[in-house]
Amino acid sequence: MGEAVAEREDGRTAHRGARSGPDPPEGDADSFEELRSLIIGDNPVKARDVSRVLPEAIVLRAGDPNLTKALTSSVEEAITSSVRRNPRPLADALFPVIGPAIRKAIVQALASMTETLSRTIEHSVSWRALRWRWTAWRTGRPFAEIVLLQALEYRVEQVYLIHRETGLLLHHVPHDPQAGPDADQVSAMLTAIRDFVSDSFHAGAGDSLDALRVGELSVIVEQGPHAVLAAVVRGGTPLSVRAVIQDALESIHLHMAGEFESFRGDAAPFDRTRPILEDCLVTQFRPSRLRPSYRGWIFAGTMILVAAGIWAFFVVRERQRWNAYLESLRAEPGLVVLASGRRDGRYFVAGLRDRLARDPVSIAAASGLPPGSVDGRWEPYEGLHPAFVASRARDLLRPPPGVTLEYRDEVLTASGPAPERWIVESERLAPAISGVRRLEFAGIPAAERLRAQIESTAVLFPTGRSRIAPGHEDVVRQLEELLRELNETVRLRQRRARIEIVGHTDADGSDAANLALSQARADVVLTMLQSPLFDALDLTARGVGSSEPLTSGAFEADKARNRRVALRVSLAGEPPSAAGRQ
Amino acid sequence: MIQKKICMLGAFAVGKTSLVSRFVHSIFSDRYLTTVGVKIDKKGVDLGHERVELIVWDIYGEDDFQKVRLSYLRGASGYFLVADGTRRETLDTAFTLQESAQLTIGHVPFLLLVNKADLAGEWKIDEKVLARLAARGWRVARTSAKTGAGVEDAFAALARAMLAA
Repeated sequence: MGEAVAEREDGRTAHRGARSGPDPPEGDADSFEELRSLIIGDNPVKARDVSRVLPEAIVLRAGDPNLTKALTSSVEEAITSSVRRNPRPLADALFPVIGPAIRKAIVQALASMTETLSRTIEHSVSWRALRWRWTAWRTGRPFAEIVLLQALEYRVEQVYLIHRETGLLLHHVPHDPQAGPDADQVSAMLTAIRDFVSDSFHAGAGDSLDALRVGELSVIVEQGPHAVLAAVVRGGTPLSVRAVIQDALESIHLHMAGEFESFRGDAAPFDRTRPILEDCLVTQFRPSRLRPSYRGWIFAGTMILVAAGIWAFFVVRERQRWNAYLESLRAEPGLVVLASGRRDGRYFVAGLRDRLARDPVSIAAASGLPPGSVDGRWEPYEGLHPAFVASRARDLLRPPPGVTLEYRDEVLTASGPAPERWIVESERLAPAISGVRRLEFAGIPAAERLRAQIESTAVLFPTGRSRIAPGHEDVVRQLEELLRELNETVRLRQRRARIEIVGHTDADGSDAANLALSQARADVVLTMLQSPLFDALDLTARGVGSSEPLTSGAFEADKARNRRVALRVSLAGEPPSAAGRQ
Repeated sequence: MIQKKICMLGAFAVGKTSLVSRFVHSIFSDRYLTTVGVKIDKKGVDLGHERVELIVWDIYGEDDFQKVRLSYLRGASGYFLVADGTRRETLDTAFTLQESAQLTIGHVPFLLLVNKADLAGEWKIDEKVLARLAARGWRVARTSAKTGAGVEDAFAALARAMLAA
């Protein structure tokens, strides 16, 4: 506004000059002013007055929205025009405000990113994370820093702006505010080293060391007419970093030409290069790779597969054991599996069980199934397995010692010295046993045995006498015993036996006498054996003379054998035995 | 704050490095002297009204086998010539070096430091020679690396001369 006023003042002066000449008379002054205002259309005194009260007026109007409205577009235009003409004054003015704000924001963003990264990695178990942990432990650096460094593609950690001629440090911007208190010495040494290299290798004019590399750190050096810009980079150094450095150096030369000219060792003016240098502190993170997540998936997949494998192994093994158990149950006599399967995570089996069969629980244990893992429901029944039938028969019939029972094709066979009473009883009971149709006795029936014994026993008599030969009373008693036994046996079967007592003589003497003698002999024995106890026997006596000799010899011994009484046994319902017919 | 680059020149084993070692701050080891041929030190000088930060380029001593790398002189605002008071020939070397320096970086302030002032009895350098040099406008100071005498003053004198130049 001051300029505008000055212009108007100049205009007035020019105007006045144009009309210069001898001063107008005093009385003409007012009319002259009037004329002037008509021609120019403005009053300079008024403008001057306004300029005096303007600040005060604005203060008085502070808070008036109309004033703000009126000024807004002018102020906006003024700023736009100022930036268009030369952005520096405004940038310089704003720098103290914006610079720290941006730095603070970046630091916070980085810190939070590091923390997030750290947290993410903290919980991930990958080979790489373990390696980083090892590195962190070995170097004593925080894990998050290792992660950050590993995730970095590159980071410009420090930038040195160095006066080319003297090697003096003009400005230094480190990424980490704590770093580089001796930047001025580093700056000088870097210059010395560049000189040293140039000298040592007789480099051509203008050639100079433009990069150093130590481990994962490298120093990129760009040289301008007045200054050298050195950037310390961690990680790889892509061409883009050098381009950034070059741009910065050019920009510095452009903006600081005067300062370079007048540089006498005071670096303070170069503080203004800070924003440019800070722009060089580029951090580039590696694009997130897919590999780790693949690895994670592969790892997780492997774990799942392993777990599934283990699970499958146990399931298959248990299933095998279960199937083996069912097989054992089916093979086991006396067990009939009717239903089996899995219910509520437990195996169950239901069926019929003979009480003589093995315990299914003990079979489960033998099959390797954990105890209590199988629910069993067994209904009792009687199985027809031969072993069970035989067992039940033994249980019921209680065979006497020496007597064995065998079961085959529904027939129970007893063998051994069995009393007739037991045989009869067993024959009666056996069909009551499930699966047994009848009982057979494999030995000689008692009646047959007794008959044979009775028929082979002879009571001898002296010649011509009907009195028993001395010592043969015992034979009669023996016969009596056998007959009692026979009576018993026959009676048990509710039959009867006919006992024919037959008297014999030798061939000496007449037939009539012999017949009478033989009848007498038979009657004697009948009398001796007759007993009311023999209720199942019918005893008869008859003489046959010498018609049925045992031997035909003429010696006394032969004749003695023929002087006898023998018994013939006929069991009811049976034809007379061969011995009896002799 | 003003920074100035200064150099230390002198024959081999005149005690350049030990002369300043206790007055300067350095982050580099002496090894650099024998490898790169220079070692950077830093020395702050308080001139009362102003403070000057001197970046000291301690350049490896010239001997029969190695010439001073004159490129290290570039941009220096001043320098010390260091001679050993007990060895006359080191003064000759200083003269030679002064000529070379003047050719390389022109007329800049410098100070001749005659070292080993603590061994004054064994001095081989004639007082008259030094007086003649002073008469020619040379700034001459006697110093002792052993006692440290004259070193601080020498830094201040050079700083003052450079600011005035």
